[in-house]
Amino acid sequence: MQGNTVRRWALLTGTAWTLAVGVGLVWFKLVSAVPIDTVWPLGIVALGWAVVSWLALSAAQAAAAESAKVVEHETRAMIDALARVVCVEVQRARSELVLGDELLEHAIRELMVAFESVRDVNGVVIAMQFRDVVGQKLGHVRGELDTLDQLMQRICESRQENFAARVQELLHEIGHKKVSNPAQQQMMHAGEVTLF
Amino acid sequence: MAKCILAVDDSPSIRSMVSFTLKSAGYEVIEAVDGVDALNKAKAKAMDLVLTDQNMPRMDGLALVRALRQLPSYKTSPILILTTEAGVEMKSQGKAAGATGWLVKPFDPNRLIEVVQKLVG
Repeated sequence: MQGNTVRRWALLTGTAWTLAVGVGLVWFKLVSAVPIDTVWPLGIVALGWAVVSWLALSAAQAAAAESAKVVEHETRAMIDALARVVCVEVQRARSELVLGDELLEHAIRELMVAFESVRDVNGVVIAMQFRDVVGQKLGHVRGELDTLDQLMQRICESRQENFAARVQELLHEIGHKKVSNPAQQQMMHAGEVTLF
Repeated sequence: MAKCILAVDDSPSIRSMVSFTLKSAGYEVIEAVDGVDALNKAKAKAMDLVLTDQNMPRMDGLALVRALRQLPSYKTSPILILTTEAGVEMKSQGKAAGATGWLVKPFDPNRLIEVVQKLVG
């Protein structure tokens, strides 16, 4: 039950109790000739309000505890989502680095073979260009790792209050920040030519 | 008289390889380090063909193509983009900007000479 609902419920119950005691007092005075002291009805009303207040306080405490549990759960879910994003990004960066390494190794191998056969100038020119391809790949990976680093720094700087909302905002931001890989070569041969 | 080709790339090794390849086929090659440098050189001397990289500092390849197409002497000149980017979307952008062709790195020297000969003779 929410805090506002508890307060509304307490106010309504207390008012209903006061009205019921008032109606009971009027009815008693109409049907009975016995004189009645006003202290008694006031005491009964006060007792009713005390019971209602106690119940309301308990309900409010329960609501606050429930709300704290929900916040804790949401924060944990956000942190889990963040951890998943970080893992995916790191995994991607790693695989790009591995591929970059493979390209470089291949280029060096090709260079060695081409240099051994003096006639293969074409092979040397193609192989040497992999240096540029690898450079672009490494630049892309550096960019991704920088983004990740900035994200983690901004999360660390975030305040405790509204933490879940802030993390969600940053995750949304990083989702929009994705930059396509400028060098997508997977094969070690010359690229295609398209004339428009 | 040898046809003049403007080779634009921020990577010195790619520039020298393009230059080496095209010179070996009898072309005159002028090198530029980025789009801004290329634009200045293209204005100073009419080139028969421009071969440019896409990702460069100051001015990228697509911006260079657009700027060149604004110049009267480059309205119909062949402009090729030589890049590591092989995506369909990037190629469409190149075509829309006014590029004549899209070559994905690494280039095959023989194939590059064939394409250049086809475009400028």
